[in-house]
This record gives sequence, structure tokens and C-alpha cells, in this order.
Amino acid sequence: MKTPNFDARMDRRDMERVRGEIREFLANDPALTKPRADSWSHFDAAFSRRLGQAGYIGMTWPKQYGGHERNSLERYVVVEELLAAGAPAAAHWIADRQTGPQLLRFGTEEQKMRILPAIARGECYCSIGMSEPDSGSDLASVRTRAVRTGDKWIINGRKIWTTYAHHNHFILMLCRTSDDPAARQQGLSQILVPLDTPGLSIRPITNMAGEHDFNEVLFEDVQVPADALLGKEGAGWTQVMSELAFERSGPERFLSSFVLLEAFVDRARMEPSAEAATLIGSMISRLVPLRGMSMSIAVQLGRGELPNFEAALVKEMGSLLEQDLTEKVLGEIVPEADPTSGDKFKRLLAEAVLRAPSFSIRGGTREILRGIIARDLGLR
Amino acid sequence: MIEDSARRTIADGLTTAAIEAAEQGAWAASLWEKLEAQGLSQPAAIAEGGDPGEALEIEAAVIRSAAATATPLPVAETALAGWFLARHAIEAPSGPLSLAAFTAGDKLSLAGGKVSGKLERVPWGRNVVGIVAVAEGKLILIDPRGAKITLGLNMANEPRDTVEFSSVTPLAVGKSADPEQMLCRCAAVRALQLAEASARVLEMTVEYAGQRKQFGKPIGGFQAIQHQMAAAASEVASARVAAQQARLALAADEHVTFACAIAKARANDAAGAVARMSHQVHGAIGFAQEYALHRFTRRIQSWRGEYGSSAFWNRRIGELILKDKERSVWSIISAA
Repeated sequence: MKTPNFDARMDRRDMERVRGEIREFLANDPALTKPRADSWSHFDAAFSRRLGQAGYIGMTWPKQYGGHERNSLERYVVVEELLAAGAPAAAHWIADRQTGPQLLRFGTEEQKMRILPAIARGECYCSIGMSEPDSGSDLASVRTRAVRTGDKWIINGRKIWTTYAHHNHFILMLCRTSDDPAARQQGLSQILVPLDTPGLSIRPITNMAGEHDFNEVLFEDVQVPADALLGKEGAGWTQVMSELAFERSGPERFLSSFVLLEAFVDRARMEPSAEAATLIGSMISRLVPLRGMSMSIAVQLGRGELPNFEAALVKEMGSLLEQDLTEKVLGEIVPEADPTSGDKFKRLLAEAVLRAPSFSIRGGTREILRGIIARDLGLR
Repeated sequence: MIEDSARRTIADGLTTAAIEAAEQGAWAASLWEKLEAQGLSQPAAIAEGGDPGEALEIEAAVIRSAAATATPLPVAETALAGWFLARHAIEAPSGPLSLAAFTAGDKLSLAGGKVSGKLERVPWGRNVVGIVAVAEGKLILIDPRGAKITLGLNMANEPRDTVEFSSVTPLAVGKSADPEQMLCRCAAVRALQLAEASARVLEMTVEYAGQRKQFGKPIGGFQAIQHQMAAAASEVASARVAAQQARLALAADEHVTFACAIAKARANDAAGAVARMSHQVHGAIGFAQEYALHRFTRRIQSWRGEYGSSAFWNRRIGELILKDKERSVWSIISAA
């Protein structure tokens, strides 16, 4: 049985300096006039460009690739401040959080020089190419195929739930590059495909909130050069697994609906009650330890470790917390949620409730995460 | 390592006979003497250099060892009492110590140097040589021997006694003390005990699920079991981190009420969930006297209520936030 490694001790001096800077930036940015619940699902390229120009994307990356060589806790502060403020951060989110680090880890010098500076400027956005119509939680069953022909990869298949493929520049695909039913994880590779490549078509999928961020992406004889391969051929599964700690451990796993809590507190301050105080406390007493856990993972990621067990624990607890917040506010306080309301609280409640089902699905379902935790406990 | 030596001492002294005797109300004298002889009864005194953070970590290591073994002795209470006494420049007497429960039931007067009144639910009141309490806004250390003691127990058969004093001269009177602040400090320690007892319960349950076979395989192979254990593991992890955050706040002397309140609320709920799931996974054997699970889960269920329930602390946290009108919730959380 493994014991997770969480250490809440950390040097906070650099963090607090960056916090002051990013708060000032956000206080003066026009995109923040309308804070959004689940703000990292709201796409605003102009905002991401401003953020990139100010040095808040690719913060931990080497300067030669457009980064700023800040430490991982400084980046953590920026990310949590974006979420807490409800900033529309979707455009650069995936590229900054995982595609960029993945390129840094596995990319060639040419790939890094070509793509990372554009990501850091807030101009280049990426999608995750993992799920397929028949491959969700069972990721190793992906069937989208890439065949090496001369100096090209020819790709056929489809990817689904591809967030902002219709706006983004690249999709980092997990493709099957060889067949061996006995070793299905070994036949996978990661290929970075520009989303404007001929043969690639993008079909919108509207979510239950009535918004279009998902897509299905169809690949019909899509040709990319051989050097679109990321890392090693056949190492796709291992590479994807190293992406997951970045994907699962961040503050977006428990702060998606935080702006709702803030709006709820604003209301309760005008009409305080014991019930409201207890509800607020019950959320804060879960959130604060979770934040400590997530920050501890950020430190470990910064050291080059891959705390997948710890990340699964954060996501497991975080998605429960995010969902319980909307559930409790809706269930116990009985306000009228209204997505069109000028009342900030009513609007944010509607936004959070309508997005809450996705919290325990995206980035690995609750069931998959519990399976990972159980494995590290030694039960499977 | 302090923790290793505490564990070894406890493993040697905590025999089945000692456990059974303690359940029947006997004082585990020989184990206590061994712990005291090694200085483990006053762990903060082991810390050199006066760094409060280091003292708290050493104290935590000893309390962790006792909680993870369900040691039937006031290890945590003696350490806590010693910590308070040190802050008031009072030398801790040797022997087991305790403190008030800091509930509304405490009613002590201090007049002409004499203490009168009643303390309810004092941990190990019948066994200790001194109790730390607050009388008329001042910290006092008072000897319960000779006072009127009405015996009581918690669900783990740990003594929780009512102690009545009638014009007793305290062993020492300290500076002014805030019972609220003392309650916070005690809550942080109960939170650590809850987290560590839960960690042990999780460990026992994972082990059991790997051994117990039904339908031809270990029950740990079933997803229904795995998912409960995964949820329990996340509860344990967050309770432990919350307890550490409280120690860091205490060491820095910043946001102490906030951090201790969070630690106790989180530990209460986490431990409750872990106890529930672990009993479910154990099935009937976990309910049997002969099996050790209940030694931990009875402590968990008792400690959840001591030094503040989740509802108590959650409401306190919420009230702190509602009152602090100049700051957003986020600025409060991110500063803590």
C-alpha cells in the first residue's frame, strides 16, 4: 500500500509577489467585467494574448522557448487567481497546462522552437486528442490510426469531446501506429496535428448548457510530415500517462465553481444566517486542505516528478467538492437560477449547475480515478 | 527518529493484556512509565533551539504514534498541557496531565488564590496529576487529586470525568488565557489523532480486503470495494494535510483559528467516512469484539465530538468569513 506524498510546507515569498502582480493585471483587464463559472471553459483569444504578453503563460519554461523561468508555485498562483476571478482562460489553458510541458519533455528542438514561444505569447492554442466515439475511459482501445508512408503520417479515424478544436491550432493525437492485440498499449504514438490540415473536418457538439466548446474531429487521409511525431513511436501510452498528473492535479479541479461561492458569500453578508455560515464553512474546510494538496503536487511536478497517485486523489476530492457546492447552494438555499439574469449570483448558479455533471467526467471519470487510487493502494 | 522510538516503545508495552485491562478501566502504568522515561510524555521539550515549528512536528510524531496504535493513555493531553504550560513559563510536573474540554460546562472561579467550580468531560481526570484550565480569564494548573470526581467514559472507554473543586489552591497560575484559543489548539490535536486513526483504519481495511476471499477471489478485487477504499484514501490524505496546515499556522502564529477550525471539521468528516466505509468492507468481523477495528473506530466516533463537531467548526469558519466584509473569500483563503 502506497502512502501519498503531500507536504504543505513551502516557500511562499515568490508566490505572494506574483499574486499581487496578477491581481493587478486582472483588476484592470476588460474580460473580467463578467466573471464566469467554470471559467477555464470560456474561450477568449484576446484575453489569452494579453495574458501571454504580460508573461503569464509558459511561466516555468526556459527563456529560450519563450518561457519565463518562474517556479512552479508562481505558475500555480497565476492559475488559481485566474480561476478565482472567473477569467475566460480556455484559449491557452490546455497548451499552457499540458501540451507545452509535453513538448518540453518529449519534443525535438525544432518542435520546441517552433511552437512553445507562440504558446507562451498566448497566440497558439491546443486540443487534447485522446477520446474517441468508442474509446472513453478505456483509452488504450483508441482506433484512430496513423500509418507511416515515406516521410509522412497518414491519419484516419475520429476524435471526440475535442474542446475548442474549432478555434485551436493543434491537436495532440493519441493514435494507433501498430497492431498487436496482446500489447495494445505498446502500439500507440502521439502526433501533433495542425487543426487546419486538409482532410480534417470539425463538427460541433453543443453541451447541455447550450454552449459550443466540444467537437468531433474527423480524419480522412490526413497527411502530416514524419516530424509531427511527438517523442518515440510506440511510446504514446507512457507519454500520455505522464501528461495526466498535469491534467488532474491543478486548482481547476476544485475551483471551477468557486465564483459561485464568492457570490453566495456576498449575498449572505447582507443577510447572515447560521445556515449560510455553516454551508460556507463546510465548503471552505474541504477546499483549503485540497488547495494544500494541489500546491504540494505543483512543487513535485516542478521537480520533474510524476505524482499520478496524488493527482488522482486531488481530482477525486476536487470534483466532489465542485459538484457539492452547486448541489448544496441549489438544494438548501433554493434560489432561482437564471442563466440570463443580471443578478450575478443567479447567473453563476445556473452556469455552475449546468456544467457540474462534466466535473467528474472530464480529465478522467470518477470511476477511472478511483481505479487508479485502488491500484496504488494495492487492491488491483 | 522520535516516531520510530515511540512506535517501538508502544509496540513493546501495548500487550493484549494491557489493552484489555485498559478497556476495563485500569491505568496502563507500565507503558506510561516507559514513555515518560524516554521523554515522550513531553515531546515539545525534546525540540532544541526553540523553533516552534520543530516542537510541533516532534509533538505530532509522538501523538501520531499513539493514535495509530489506539494507545489507551493521555499521550496527546499530556503533550498539549505541557505546551500550554511552557507558554506560561510554568514547569510541567512529571506524570500524566490533562486539560479542560473547554465546553460551556466549564465553570471555575478564582478568588483569593483559590479555585472553585466544575470541569466537565475532562480526559483522564481520574488518572492525572494536573489539569490545565482557564479560571477567570487566567490559565491555571490544578491537581484533581482530592477533588470530587464523577467518572464518565467516551465510547472508546477513555475516561471523561467531571471534576469539582471546592476552594483548592492551584499548582500554578499563569497569564491571561483565552479559552477559545485553547480550544483551537486542542481541536488541532484531536484532528491529527483522527487523521492518524483513520490512516490506520484504512491500512487495516486494505489489508483485510486483500486477504478475505468471496466468490473465489479477494474482495478487494471487486470495484464496489475498490471504489470505497479509494474514496477513504482521499479522505485520509486531506485530513492529514489539514492537520499539517494547522501546525504550520500555529508555528507561524497566523490564521490560527481558521486553520485549526478547518483541520477539525475536515478530520471529523473524513474520519467518519473512513470508519463507515471500513466497517462496511470488513463485514461482520469488524463488528466483533475480538477484532481490533473497533478500537480505532470507537475512538474516531468519540473524538469527532470532542473539541468541536463539524457543524460547530464549519459555522465558526463561515462566521469568520461573513464578518470579514472588507475581504473576498478568495483573499481570505489565499492568505491563509
